Amino acid sequence: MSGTPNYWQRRSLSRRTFLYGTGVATAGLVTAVACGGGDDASPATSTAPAGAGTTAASPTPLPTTAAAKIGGTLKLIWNTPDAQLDPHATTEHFAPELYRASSHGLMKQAAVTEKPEPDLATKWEKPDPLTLVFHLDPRAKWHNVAPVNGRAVTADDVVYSLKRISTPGPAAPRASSFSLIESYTATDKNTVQIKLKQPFVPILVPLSDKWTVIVAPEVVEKYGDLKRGDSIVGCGPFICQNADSSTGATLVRNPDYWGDKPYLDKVVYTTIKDAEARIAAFKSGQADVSDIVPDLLINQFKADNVQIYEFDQVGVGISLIGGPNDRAPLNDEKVRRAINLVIDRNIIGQAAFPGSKQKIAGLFGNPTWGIPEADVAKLPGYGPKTTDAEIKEAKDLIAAAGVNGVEIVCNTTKAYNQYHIDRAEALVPMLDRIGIKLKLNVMEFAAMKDAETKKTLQFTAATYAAYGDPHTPLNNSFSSTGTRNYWAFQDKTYDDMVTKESQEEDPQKRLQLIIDMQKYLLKGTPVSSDMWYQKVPIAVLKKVKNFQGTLTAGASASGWYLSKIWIDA
Amino acid sequence: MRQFVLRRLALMVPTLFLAVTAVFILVRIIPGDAVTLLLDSSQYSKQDADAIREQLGINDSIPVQYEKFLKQVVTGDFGVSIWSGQDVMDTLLKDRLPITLELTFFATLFGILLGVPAGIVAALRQDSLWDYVVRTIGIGGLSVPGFWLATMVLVLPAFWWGWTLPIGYKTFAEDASKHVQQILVPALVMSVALAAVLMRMTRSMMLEVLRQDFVRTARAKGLAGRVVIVRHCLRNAMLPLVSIVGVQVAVLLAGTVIYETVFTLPGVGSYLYEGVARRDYPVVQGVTVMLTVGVIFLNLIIDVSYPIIDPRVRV
Repeated sequence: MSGTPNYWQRRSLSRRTFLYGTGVATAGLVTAVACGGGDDASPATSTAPAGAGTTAASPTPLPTTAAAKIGGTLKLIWNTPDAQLDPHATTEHFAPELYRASSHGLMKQAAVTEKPEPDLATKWEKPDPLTLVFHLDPRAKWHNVAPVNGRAVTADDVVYSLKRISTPGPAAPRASSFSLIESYTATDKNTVQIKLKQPFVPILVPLSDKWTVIVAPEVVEKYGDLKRGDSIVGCGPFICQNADSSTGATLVRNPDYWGDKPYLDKVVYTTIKDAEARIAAFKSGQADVSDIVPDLLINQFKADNVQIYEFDQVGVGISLIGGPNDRAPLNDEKVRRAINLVIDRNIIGQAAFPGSKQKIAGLFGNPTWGIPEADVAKLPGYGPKTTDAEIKEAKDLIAAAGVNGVEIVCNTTKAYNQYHIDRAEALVPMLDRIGIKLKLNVMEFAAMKDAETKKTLQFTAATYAAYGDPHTPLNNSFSSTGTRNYWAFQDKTYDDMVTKESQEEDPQKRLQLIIDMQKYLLKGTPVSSDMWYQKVPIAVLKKVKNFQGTLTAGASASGWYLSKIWIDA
Repeated sequence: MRQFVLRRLALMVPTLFLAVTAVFILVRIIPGDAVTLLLDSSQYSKQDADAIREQLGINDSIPVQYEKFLKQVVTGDFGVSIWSGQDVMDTLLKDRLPITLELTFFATLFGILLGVPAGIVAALRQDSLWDYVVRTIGIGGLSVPGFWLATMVLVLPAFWWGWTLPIGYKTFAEDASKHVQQILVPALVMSVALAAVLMRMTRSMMLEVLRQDFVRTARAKGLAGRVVIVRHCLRNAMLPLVSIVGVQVAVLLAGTVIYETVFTLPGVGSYLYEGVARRDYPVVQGVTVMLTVGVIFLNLIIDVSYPIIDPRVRV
């Protein structure tokens, strides 16, 4: 549900201009909330299992330092209310956050690389390209609460959960991610076999992402659905004491946890929708972890008791500028190339994220999956500054296309965040230089989604979130049948590349294919891209130890890693 | 009086009908629906989306939906939220409405307590320093955007003193101290504009009344100044003030969408905002119909109160 805030939507710079204009000394009123970080992990480590062999589980070791302490409460702020709390029936973020702390998935993902890792499945095998076999941890058991009462987690539970997620309907918006799975079978009490309809390497991503959590059939039966807080019953290190989709939640340590027990007594999430209120909550000590801190305001957050972490951007979201290629004037490739040439990505980057340290990226600003920086600079229009030669070339292209002075309506939305409008505004003078009059049409989010889905837009400057693996954006946004292919981009060569990439078992070869695909897109320019490699600062109270960043929200640690955090109070 | 009330109640029917019809149409005119949002990040076909629309009942024809909606209005049962599956009226009445009513009540109370005495003082001391100070503050109260003031109230104490309002809404029963802070501070912020309006209106009305012959007569016959002001002047100036308060309460209710967001209060305003953003038709319809009915009744109460405040209206 992308009406629901994802990383990009949460990156709210609300009221920034106004507040700056007032000259209020507390320039810290600006906020941006975004994704967590990533590191420069080797691409070869992505999308396990490596090759077709066996990947053994290696349990994440608990910190060995003697300083680790048991007890304490971690106070987190969450930035957007969810509509409900069923992790299988949502693409929002709060429900899976809670479930990943209070339950487990078949697999999980690494904190910053988003690499699939063992979770309930301690190891898995891929005996052939169509078969995956997962071996569950025999120690796993449900919380000692009704109706599961501490019984063992079984392969049947896993099969039940995966079928629940992948059966199309209102309760399973992510079902399409599992559409290439032929069958789920519990071959014994602790073994699950998954058969694919065709080879599909990225299948480990939906199987490991945070929404794919295991639930007990009797809990669903008891509550009818899992939409409310009292139905959060899992097999994880924390027990949900109370939860409300719009206000927050409290988790407490599971005293009977079968794995490494958590350090924290309690984790309290408080949902605060207003960005400035979240800053106030952190500054007043009511939250231990801040939102993403805008670069211009980092000094406002520095204090003796605060540690500023900087994470690499993760996720494989894409940020695009353009429109459908099947109507004038963008149906002329010369116009698209001209636009691509005069987009000064550095200027847009600074307009969107003032003061941030960023480097121009290609399609993905992701260190694992993006085009290497040296190669990005060689792409037309991706230099550090738009040159006179590029402007002249663009003008010539526009003249050749015969569209000088044409007016284009650019849809954008504030609901993503102010960043999008800033970016669109920065585009206006750039395109004006080559005789294109860009008229901004700021829309309400759902209205813009409607325009995109019905392909009634002429031009847009928008961002599309994706996580875990680049296959989803590469397929959804650019293949001939892609749901998010708002560009009417039809290219058989590209479609074949998507298929090939999705079936390539060798991680290095697959990475190369993905980089080639990005270059192909950027060369063909169905639509322009503006993306940056940039650091994401988060302020954390120093008493919070072993903070590991987050995949989805700068406002809190991911539920996957809460059990590894301790408070040094 | 009875006939007057009955006539007003009868007039409410067409008013309500027009209002709810407008709500029904407006909700459906805005582009996008819940399914578009639900599936946005997924790879899906039009058939997949339509199948889900069918299951959610939002694929019915407009006349069928309108008929269902009118039945809901009559029965007061707006069904369940498309997203959360929770009963809309249940959520509204048990969880959301009490917060908004409390907020609006205190905002109105503060507005009256601040605005009316300030207006009286300004009128009694016309063109004095007091008058200028009060009028300047009043203009300021009208000029300053409420959301900005709310943000300042939240953020500045956090930066200056490391303090802000307690986060995480608590009911009075859960934590009385936190609850009082969480309601009264936003209510005070909300009341600023109302207080400014009331101050200006009170001053203006009082100045007019103070120049009336009956006031001079009252003074001439030796009544105490306080009696003249309260019993003679203020009562005569009350009628337009009550009208304004009635209108402003509706404005305050509408403003809760912003204030509840800034102050993170899970009231009707934030429920409506989320409902609109998610295209949750049952929620939007339930909230707007309830607010419409509330405002209509409020106006009825105000109309009924006129003859009580000013017996000349009965004539």
